[in-house]
Amino acid sequence: MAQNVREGPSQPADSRRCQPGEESNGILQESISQSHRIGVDSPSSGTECFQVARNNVVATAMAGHSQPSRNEDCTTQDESPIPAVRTLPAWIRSFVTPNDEYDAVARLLPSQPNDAIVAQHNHSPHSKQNPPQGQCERSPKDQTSFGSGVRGSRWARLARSVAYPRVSISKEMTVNPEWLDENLGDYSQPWSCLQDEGAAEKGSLLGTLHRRRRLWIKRFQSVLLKSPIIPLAFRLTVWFFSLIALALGGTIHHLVEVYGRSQGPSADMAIVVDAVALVYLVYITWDEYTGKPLGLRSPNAKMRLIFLDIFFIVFDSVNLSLAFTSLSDVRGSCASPPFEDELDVKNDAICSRQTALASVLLIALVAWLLTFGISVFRWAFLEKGIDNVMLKLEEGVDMKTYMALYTAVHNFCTSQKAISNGQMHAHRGAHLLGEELYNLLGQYLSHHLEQISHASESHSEEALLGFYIREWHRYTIAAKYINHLFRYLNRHWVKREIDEGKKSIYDVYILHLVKWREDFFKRVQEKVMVAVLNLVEKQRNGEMIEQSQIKSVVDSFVSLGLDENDTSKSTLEVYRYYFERPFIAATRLYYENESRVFVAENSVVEYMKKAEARLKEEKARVGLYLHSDITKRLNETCLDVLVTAHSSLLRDEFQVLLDNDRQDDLTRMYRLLSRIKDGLDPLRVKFETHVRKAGLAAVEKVAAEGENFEPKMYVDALLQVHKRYQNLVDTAFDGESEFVRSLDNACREFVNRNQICKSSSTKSPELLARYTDSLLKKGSKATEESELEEMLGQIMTAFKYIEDKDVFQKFYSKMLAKRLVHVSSVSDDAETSMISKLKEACGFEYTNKLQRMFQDIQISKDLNASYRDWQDRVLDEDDRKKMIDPHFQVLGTGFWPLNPPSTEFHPPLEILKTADRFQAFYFDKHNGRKLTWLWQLCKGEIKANYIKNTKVPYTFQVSTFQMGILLLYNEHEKLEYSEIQKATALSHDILEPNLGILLKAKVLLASPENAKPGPGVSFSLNYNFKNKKIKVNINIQIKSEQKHETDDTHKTIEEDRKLLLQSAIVRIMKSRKRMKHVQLVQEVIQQVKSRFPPKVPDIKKNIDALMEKDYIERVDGDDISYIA
Amino acid sequence: MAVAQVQDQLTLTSSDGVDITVDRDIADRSLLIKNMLSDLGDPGEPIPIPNVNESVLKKVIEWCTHHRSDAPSTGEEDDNRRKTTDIDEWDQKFMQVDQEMLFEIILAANFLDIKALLDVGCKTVANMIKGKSPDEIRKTFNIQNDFTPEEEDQIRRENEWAEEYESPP
Repeated sequence: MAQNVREGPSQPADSRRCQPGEESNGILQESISQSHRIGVDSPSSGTECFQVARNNVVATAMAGHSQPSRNEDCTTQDESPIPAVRTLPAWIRSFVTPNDEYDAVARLLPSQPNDAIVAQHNHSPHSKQNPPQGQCERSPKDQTSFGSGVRGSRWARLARSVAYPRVSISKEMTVNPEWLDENLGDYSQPWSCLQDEGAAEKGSLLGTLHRRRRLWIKRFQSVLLKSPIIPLAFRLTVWFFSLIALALGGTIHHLVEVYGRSQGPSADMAIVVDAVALVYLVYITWDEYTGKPLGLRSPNAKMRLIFLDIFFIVFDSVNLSLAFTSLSDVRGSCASPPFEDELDVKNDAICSRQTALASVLLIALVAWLLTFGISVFRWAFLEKGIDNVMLKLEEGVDMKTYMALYTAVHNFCTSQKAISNGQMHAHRGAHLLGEELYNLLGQYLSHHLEQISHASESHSEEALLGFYIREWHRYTIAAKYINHLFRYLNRHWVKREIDEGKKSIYDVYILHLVKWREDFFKRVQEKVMVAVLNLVEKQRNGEMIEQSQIKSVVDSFVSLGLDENDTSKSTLEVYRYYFERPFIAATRLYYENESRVFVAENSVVEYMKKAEARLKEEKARVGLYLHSDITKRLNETCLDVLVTAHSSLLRDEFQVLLDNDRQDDLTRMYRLLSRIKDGLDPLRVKFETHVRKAGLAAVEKVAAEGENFEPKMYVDALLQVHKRYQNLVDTAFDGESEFVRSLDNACREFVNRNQICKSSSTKSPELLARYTDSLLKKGSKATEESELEEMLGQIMTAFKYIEDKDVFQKFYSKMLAKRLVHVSSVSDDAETSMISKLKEACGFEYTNKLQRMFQDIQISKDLNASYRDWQDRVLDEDDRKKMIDPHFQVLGTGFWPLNPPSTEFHPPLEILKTADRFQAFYFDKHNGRKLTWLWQLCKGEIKANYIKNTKVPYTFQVSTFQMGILLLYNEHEKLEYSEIQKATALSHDILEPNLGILLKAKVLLASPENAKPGPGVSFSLNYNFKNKKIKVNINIQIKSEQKHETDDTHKTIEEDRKLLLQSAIVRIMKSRKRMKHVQLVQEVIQQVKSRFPPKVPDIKKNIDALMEKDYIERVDGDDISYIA
Repeated sequence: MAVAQVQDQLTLTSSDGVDITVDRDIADRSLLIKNMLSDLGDPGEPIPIPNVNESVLKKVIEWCTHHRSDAPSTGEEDDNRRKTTDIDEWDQKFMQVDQEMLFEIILAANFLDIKALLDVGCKTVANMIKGKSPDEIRKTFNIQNDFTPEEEDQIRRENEWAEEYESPP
């Protein structure tokens, strides 16, 4: 590593008097032997320490976590046991806390808690002091108001009708119905007070007859209408007599045949009619007791039954009249014989039978009529409640009706019904009434919906939609009303049924919806959907439509989605199945057609506009009248049809758009393709290629200018391409990160590998560094600070893409050194800003040297000041006279990319003295350092007092080498080349060009004239030197030197890279101790990448080199281990 | 009886034809009336309450007036409330009526759909049952024993655990 520190140069101030001006340079050589290995140590171990610390933290944190979880376990265990199973209803808690409860009971209960009858008189119209028997006296009155007997039974019934649904199963014991029937008996029968009544009769004999009779009639009515035996009895009677009539008819028919008498058709008819009637009666009786109650049958079925009965009654009466006719028939058996002889004893048999037939038929007819009458009354009675409700539903509702309806429902549900004894008998004690009402309501709705669906058949398209919506609104509003009206049913019967887990029983409102769905919706939904889709298509075609219609339809579809398991929740099933599915399908079809046609007829650009507009439209459509649930699928479908299906077409167009720089269209394409899966990937590839081509083309243009193009042109070309596409990415592609990456890739490609870099990839960084130098040098055009800053920013953009960052660093530091040494920087601020930018991009290490260079300059300033003080103290008068005004810069060897002079040099005496003096001062201050004078960087001014043609002598700005030559002329008039060479000890390479410059500037004259500097030529001062300026700069850089420098830099780059690689390898091995060869190579590449792209063979070479140096060794074939 | 309809006042007509004027928010305690009003709007005429007579209706209104500002119950707390037999003091006093009236109140609450009142009524009845022997209960409510002695015996055996705390017969 670099051990030497050189320091140098100088800035001469003005040398006032003597011809030779002066100057000085200091070179300090320090021995800093610091190996890179030491440098590596501390950071790596530091990292380790840090890691350990972190581990500790993690461990603590975990311990902290485990604590609460254990606590949780504890709490879980503490949970109280499940309460014991009990058979008492949940609201009875007495056995748990008996004492408190007992008090509460005592407080609550009427004054005499244990009395059978509680006598309280708050608002009750009359006192209840009678003993229990007394109640029965009031029973008739009670009956009129509540349709039942006594208090005891009233409680029972109330309890049944308002019973809560079972609350929680866990607190109950499950028993089977048999057990219940066996143990609890049947509460469905009203408790009757008959015995007590008998007692009461005896007790109060004077009870009014009137009341008794009324009671009796009532009971008779009740029995007649409610008792299940009555119709059976009548039917049996009819059946029995019909049987007899059939038998009689048979015998008469037989006898008539035997005796050859004509007896009229009555007997035959009796046989026919009664034979049928017998069968019918059996059927009807069976039907009455097992089938649905009549009230619940459809109107047709009701009519059929009634007409069948009437039919038989008519035939029976005809039969009867025929039978009577036969009795009085002249030719009949029973006619009073007109002719004596014809009278036959056998006629008596026929006649008596005929008479019997007639009477039997009469009885049967009467019985039948009674049966019919009673049935009709019974049906009427049963249906009264239901019909009340149903009929009034159809008439409008005012408040009275409303209350009446509600009351009707209430009364129906609470009343004890005769019908309940038959098939529903087994329904355990607490049977809630309401099933019939519920069923009937369902039928009513079905009927209503049937009508609607009939009516709907006459509509189509929009009219159908209108119809559907109108009916839907009517229906739902009605459903709300009816739901309220049937609230009582909902609250009790329905709730109970649902709680018992019956699936097909719904809340009344839900029932409406279910019915609508089953009875109407399913029949018309297809037509409705067709209409809806037609409307939507119209709108897509640009026509105006009634959007609210579709919205209403959508709403109705959504409402119909009922969750089968929990009716209080709704699902979107119906909507999805019946609306969304066809809608999506129609959309797909529509756009498939449209886009196909459109693409065929229009350009891709036009198509993109169209597609974008369509997508937007569909999105808006969802907001306007669709359910938001559809958004995703609709969007997917549209994208699929509009974009994915044509994506290859779009992508093909991409290149064209790029070529023509159609930003808007590119934006559009990006927006479209970004919405489909993998839509952009092909674009990125194309984009990358395109940018790379553009970059290369731009560079080629620059290269065409010939060898000597300005670095600025090159860098500008690069930056321009980048800026253009950066813009495109930002605006058209929304700055999407993947596109940014593509852009970066492309830029990296064309920045590092282009026409100009063909020879070596280090050309780009070099040119960039030169460009930067040109900006930062004094006299550059960008004078404005902000402008400069901006340009530096651009340079950083280009810098980002440069792979060989170390090359840039090399050149940059070289140029920076020059700028600093020659004090030619635009401003310190600009320099610092650039350095900080680089630091930001590449880290501290990268700019470390640059910063140190800066510092050295600062330190040198202080040093010069203290030197001057020291000089004032030390110098004597004589020295002062001869003193020149020197400026020294002491530069650290390790940081400055400067080489010691390539030639020997004997500085002029004046300079040498000054230099020695400074050296003495410096060594006094810093013991043990070494200074090396960098003469080639030194410069100074000398005054040409020998030229007489101006008042003020000319001042030459010269390099120290030139000064050395010129000062020789203080003692000589004319010098030969070899003399000069001897005196200055300059090598020929340096001496010749310097002499050349002096000749060219006409400071020296050669003899022979116009001879090129070289051995044998002699030089003398030109006393007639003329120049417009007083100050003449002859310190011009020599061309060959410049070129030489560049080559040098490239050479050192290779060397530096080697070191960088080696240090990286050692660093890695130091921390890993042992690793595979391949891994090591990978790791090195990873670490070094930020500086330059390393080549694998180079890395291998360096590994081998390090092995030779015993830093690392090979073990077990592929493994490499570190030697401590 | 035509009563001037002050805003937010309603007239209810009991089954025996007596008009009672109440504030709207009181009447709204009955879901039946509330629903009806929301369905039909304020009819501006007396609302017939066909199943409830004057004395009971007055009693119900008294309860509603006291509870006019109660928050409408939510389902869950409803269940909790229902599972206890606790009755607040005012309601206890309110329910100190004869059985006939109690019964009528429960019927009316059921009809008018006033859930809280129905609950209170039923709890009162429950409290009347609580802690009593079957015979006492029968006596209280005048229920005939239709069990045979064997049946009764069997039920008693099966429910023995529940009688732990009851006083010995």
